[in-house]
Amino acid sequence: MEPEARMDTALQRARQGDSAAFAEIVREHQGMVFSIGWHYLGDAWLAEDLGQEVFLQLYQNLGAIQSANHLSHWVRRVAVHRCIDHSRRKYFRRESPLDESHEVAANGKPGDSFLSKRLRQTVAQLRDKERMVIVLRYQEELELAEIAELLNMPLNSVKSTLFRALQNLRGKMSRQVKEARYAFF
Amino acid sequence: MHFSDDELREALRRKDPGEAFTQKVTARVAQQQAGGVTRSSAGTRFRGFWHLLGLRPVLVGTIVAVLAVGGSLGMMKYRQAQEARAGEAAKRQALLALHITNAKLNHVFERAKNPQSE
Repeated sequence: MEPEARMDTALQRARQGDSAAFAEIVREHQGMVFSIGWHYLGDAWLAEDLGQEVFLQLYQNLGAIQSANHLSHWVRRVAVHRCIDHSRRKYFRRESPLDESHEVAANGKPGDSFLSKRLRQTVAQLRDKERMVIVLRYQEELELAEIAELLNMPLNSVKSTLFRALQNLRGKMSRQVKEARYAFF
Repeated sequence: MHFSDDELREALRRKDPGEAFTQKVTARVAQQQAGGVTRSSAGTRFRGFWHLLGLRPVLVGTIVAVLAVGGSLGMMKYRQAQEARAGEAAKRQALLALHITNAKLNHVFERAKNPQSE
């Protein structure tokens, strides 16, 4: 069965109270929700907590979800806005590098390179808006117009934010190399 | 350190939190179905409290700060007004005392000048 048709069926069954079908929906979307939280908040425990809240909210709103497509869209939107709310509420500023201590199981990161790890840590140091745009563009592979719609931002602002974010990311990465060289020699 | 778009995409690839996560979610859903309102941490409980009041901690903090600053400014103004009022009263009393003294002295001078007048 096609994934979309499978999700449609799971959605129908979950609406009728089938907990196994709801678990299937969670399994299908948990990677997305957890990763948005982890890459944005920089804390795996917090991302897990936030992920659970998103799925509880989904459970309470199952009746309003019309299709598998709508489901992914809804879950992504709620995850993104919960992350943003969390930053606003807690004046959340990431100072420390991304927390890698929490074990990310199963489909984790085989062959995770030094560059990947460094990139994630540097993304975690970007400003809130820049970080979210980078996550949506490179993790979720969304089009700029989709990001604009999701974040309620004008398209041009998304473009400039992405440009600035990449520039900052490149700048930070080069500075790290220079500092490492200086420390080495 | 240079990186390509693909390398950034690879670094931010989705990660699955595993079956344990699914189980935690389904357990919380079951708890919710059973009627218990569950919260995962003290943080979320605290958050829930503010949501219940329809307020946000930042908003409450701002309101408290504005009230505190406004209150202390008001108190300062009130004290200044009170001091000014007390000063005016003292001035009036001093003038009255001077008038009385002046009248008494005039009377004494009159009597000294014309001892037979009474």
